[in-house]
Amino acid sequence: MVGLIYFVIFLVSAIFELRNSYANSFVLFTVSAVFLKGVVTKKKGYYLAGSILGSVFGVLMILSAVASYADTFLGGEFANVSYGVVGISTLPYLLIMRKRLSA
Amino acid sequence: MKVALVGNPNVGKTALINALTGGNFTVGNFPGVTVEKKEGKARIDGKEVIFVDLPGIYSLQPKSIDEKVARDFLVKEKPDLIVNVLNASNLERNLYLTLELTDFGVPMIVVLNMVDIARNRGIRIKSEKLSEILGVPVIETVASKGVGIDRLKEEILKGGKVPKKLGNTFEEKVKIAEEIANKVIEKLESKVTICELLDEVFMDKHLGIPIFLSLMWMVFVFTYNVAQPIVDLLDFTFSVLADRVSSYGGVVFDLLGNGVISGVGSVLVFLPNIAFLFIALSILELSGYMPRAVYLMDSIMSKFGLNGRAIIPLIMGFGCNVPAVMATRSIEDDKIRLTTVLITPFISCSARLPIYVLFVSALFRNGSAVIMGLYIFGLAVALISALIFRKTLFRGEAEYILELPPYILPNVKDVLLLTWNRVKHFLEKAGTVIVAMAVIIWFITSYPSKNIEESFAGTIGKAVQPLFAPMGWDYGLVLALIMGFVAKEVVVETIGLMNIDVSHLDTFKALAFMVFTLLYVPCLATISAIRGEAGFKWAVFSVVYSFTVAYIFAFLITEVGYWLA
Repeated sequence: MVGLIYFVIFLVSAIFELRNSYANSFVLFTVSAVFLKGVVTKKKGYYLAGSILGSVFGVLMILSAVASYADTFLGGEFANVSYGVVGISTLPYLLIMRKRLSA
Repeated sequence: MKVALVGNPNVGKTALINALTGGNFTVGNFPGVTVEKKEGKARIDGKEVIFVDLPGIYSLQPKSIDEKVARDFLVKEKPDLIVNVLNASNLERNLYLTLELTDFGVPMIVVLNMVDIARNRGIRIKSEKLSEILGVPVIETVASKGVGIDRLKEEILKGGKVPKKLGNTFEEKVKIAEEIANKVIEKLESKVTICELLDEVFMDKHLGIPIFLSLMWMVFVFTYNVAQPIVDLLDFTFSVLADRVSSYGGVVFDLLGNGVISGVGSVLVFLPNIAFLFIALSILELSGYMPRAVYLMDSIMSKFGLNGRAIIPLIMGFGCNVPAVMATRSIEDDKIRLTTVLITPFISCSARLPIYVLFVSALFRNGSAVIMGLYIFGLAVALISALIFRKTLFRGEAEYILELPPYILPNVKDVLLLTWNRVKHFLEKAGTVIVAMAVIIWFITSYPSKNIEESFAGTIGKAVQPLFAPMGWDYGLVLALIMGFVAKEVVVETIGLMNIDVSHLDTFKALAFMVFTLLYVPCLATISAIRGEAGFKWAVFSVVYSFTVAYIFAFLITEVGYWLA
């Protein structure tokens, strides 16, 4: 069920992100495909990998937004915040999975 | 006391030398050759111990240059102690090298590293039994977490023990290794490891490549977007400083302000981009993902006449081409090695990044995508060149072995140390070559006239400019290219010192310039590395070939630009 929810979240984000950046959108499509394969094959590894990729991308997009905001003070332009920030939503799930797998 | 660390590739020797020396090691080359050497000092209970990390090898039969270097070191330098590092999850194969080391009669300690991963895989090694068979102390460690390091230090102080000599011929040693492994390995119930779970996904035949491309994109976003405010802050600081110093008047302050500070500053502002790139590459390398990337890309690479081993130098080339050229030494097949040496300069090194950032910031909206496009273009030119070389100059087939180490969550200290060791090289260049070039460029742009057009720089640029007339670059940009022959960082430095406003260029001219700097003549250090690895003839070939390829592509881009306009 969790995998299916993440698949939908990343798929929708990937479609919205197409307006901002094709490359970011590609990453989001990839993460959604990883979760989808997890749902289809019922293998935990896909949820784990999807959560890792989603979290890393989410953190990166937050850092990127913060950097873009900071840059406005130095004369730069503020870039749109990517839908990739939704990736951070996988972080709690990643921590839970890691704890379960290490136990 | 001199201690040699010997082991197969990917057994955690670097993590071990980090743990033993607290990161106090230097990266250099072995005398007379260009194979990387890590040498670290540590004081254990007041006694100074020098650790030498030998290249990762599978045997001491000198087939590859790495194996020859390791063998020569053990024979000629005669270390006081050998610390043989083994991957506890793969004991049998690692033991073959151990048995070869017993032939030297040098005191030895065996380190069973990554015992945690072995346990997760259901492998327990009876280390006391192994110690009894080999006649040397056997220590279990998890170097990345510092486990077992204190005990290892104690044993190092004791000086180890001379091992029993086991087996004479290759066949005997292989057989003995198998027998020992059977005696000391205890199979427990294995649980599915995180490593296995991840491998299934990261090496998935459908998702593996998209995941690899996604990770590469994240590296570029991290390098370019996240580092940008620090770049801008440094840029602001250096320009204020340069203006302030040069405002005092006189030749000395003009040299300091407009020459040294402005010149070195124009390169140093890109330090955050380079440091962030190295942080990302270090994480990928230390996490164990890099060999998976090799595996994933192998079938594609083989279509270009290369094999998996050739990919490591190519990936390293994104950092710096010099160690990448040196890294080809681990390729056993000479034809593939030479091909890899010759195509490595097409891989966009970190020194070229400032050039792209400069042009892209001024002229393009989606900077990261343009920069990633340039990196991919460089890789494509390298691969097509490889195919041409393998079909013409270096024909033949070759085989290779690829090992997949376990995934490790890289520890922050290791990532920062690896990044620092690489960034240090860039800073050293900034403090030496780039300062010298700043002074030279300041001189040729200031004399005999302050007017650049009438200066020495103007004269040189104008003399060579007709060669680049089809691309429409002015003499300032041409001069920057000439200076870039010394080091690619100097291209941006020259542009800065000559006050060239790149935002006035049209997009296709700028793109042609970026592609030219991506592909043209390798820097002096890389040429010298190619000469060392492949000989003078191939170094000259590399210069001529890369210049021709760069010229053709820059010309085509300009023509297409004119046509579209």
